[in-house]
Amino acid sequence: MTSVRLKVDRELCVGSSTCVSVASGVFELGPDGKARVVNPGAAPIAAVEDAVDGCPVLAITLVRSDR
Amino acid sequence: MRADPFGYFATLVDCEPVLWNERHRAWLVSRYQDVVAAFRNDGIDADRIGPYMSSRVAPEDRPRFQHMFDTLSRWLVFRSPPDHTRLRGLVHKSFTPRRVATLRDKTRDVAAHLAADLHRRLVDENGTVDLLADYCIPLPGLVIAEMFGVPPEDGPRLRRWAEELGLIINGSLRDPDRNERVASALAEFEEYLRELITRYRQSPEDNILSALVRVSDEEDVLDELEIIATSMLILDAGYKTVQNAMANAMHTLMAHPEAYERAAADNELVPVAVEECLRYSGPGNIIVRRAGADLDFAGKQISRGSRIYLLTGAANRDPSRFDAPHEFRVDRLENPHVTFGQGIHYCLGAPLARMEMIAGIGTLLTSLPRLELAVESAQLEWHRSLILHGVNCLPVRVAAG
Repeated sequence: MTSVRLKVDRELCVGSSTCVSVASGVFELGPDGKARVVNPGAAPIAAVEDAVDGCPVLAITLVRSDR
Repeated sequence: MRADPFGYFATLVDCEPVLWNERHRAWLVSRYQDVVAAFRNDGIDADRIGPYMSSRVAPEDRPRFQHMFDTLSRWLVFRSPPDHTRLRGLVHKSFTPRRVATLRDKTRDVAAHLAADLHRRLVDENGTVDLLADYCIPLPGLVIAEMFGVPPEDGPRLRRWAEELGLIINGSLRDPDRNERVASALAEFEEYLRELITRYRQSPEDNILSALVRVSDEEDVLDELEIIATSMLILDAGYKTVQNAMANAMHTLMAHPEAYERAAADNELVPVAVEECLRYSGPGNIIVRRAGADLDFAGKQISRGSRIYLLTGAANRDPSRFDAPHEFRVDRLENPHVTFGQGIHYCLGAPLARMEMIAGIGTLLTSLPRLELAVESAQLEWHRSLILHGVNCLPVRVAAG
């Protein structure tokens, strides 16, 4: 089974909220206006990858590991 | 003030971080943390077209300019969710860092080609060139034309329309005819885009406009006026902002010869230098917002509808966020400047602008001897606008010695 680790670098995040709209349910904006991961499984993996790719400041990393 | 507003900005940051300015009829917000908070505040929105129509255009003139306002108010930069989210979602993929990286080689080729011509005139003929007109304007212009799907030879026309739109978009001139001029430029621009839309509808190509047309035809998510408005915005921003950012960066580097030499000798320093140029002398010094509700903001009561100027040029030199903020440090590593904004309106084209700046500045630094201004700095003419920070002309020659 593949497990996925998803991280937002909050130093880099500019709160464009692209990830929030692309991968609905996976990310949300925190009270500081920066993105955070709430539920990595809430959207298809393709949408999560789009969010990673779509971040204008490359603040999101996705690490897959097979086990 | 236009060439060097930074003294005034520093006073604001120190003494009056949120100040009502009667002349601009706007709240001036200058401190880094307040500017960032304002960008992320849901109660502060980006629509300045609606208020312009209701406050600056006489009621009897409004029907005449209705179409102009319908078009401008559809620009992504002035919209709020959910329309903003929908429209940005349709175009953001064209500007992601990965997508933009695929244009890097092409951009470098264009830069090298332009720089070779500069080399001939500057070195072989020992002359002077206008770095703005002969490099900073054509480079991003040719790149955005290709990405977007407009023929490169149409650049001059597009630039002229973008200049005219600036009369309202950049809030610069007190030109009594500006509504007429903008309406007329918009009408020509719209007709031009409608012809292109028809062409791509018949024979699609791999570019942004063609993709927008396909989305609009296949899904019910985008109307034709939105395609027109989005196209205008992308072309306007693609032409105007990067050229100013690049010219300002070269102006800054020429004023700091040691930094210039260091960046020219070390390719890895160029991206760092570009960020510092964007912080130190970005292509705009303010971003205009409006209070969408009555706000209690940083201890001030701001009433609904008030204009708010977010002074990015001041925030970028706030001593509480940047060490020695008035110093140009070509190797400044920690550089969270707000030149591209923050929050949902964070510049869509930022990855593209960064790539173009790094390719464009890097090429100039490495393929030409060090340059210097060919006029006194005080003779440079700056735009009469705080929204757009840049010169009208940047004459340069090979530096002496």
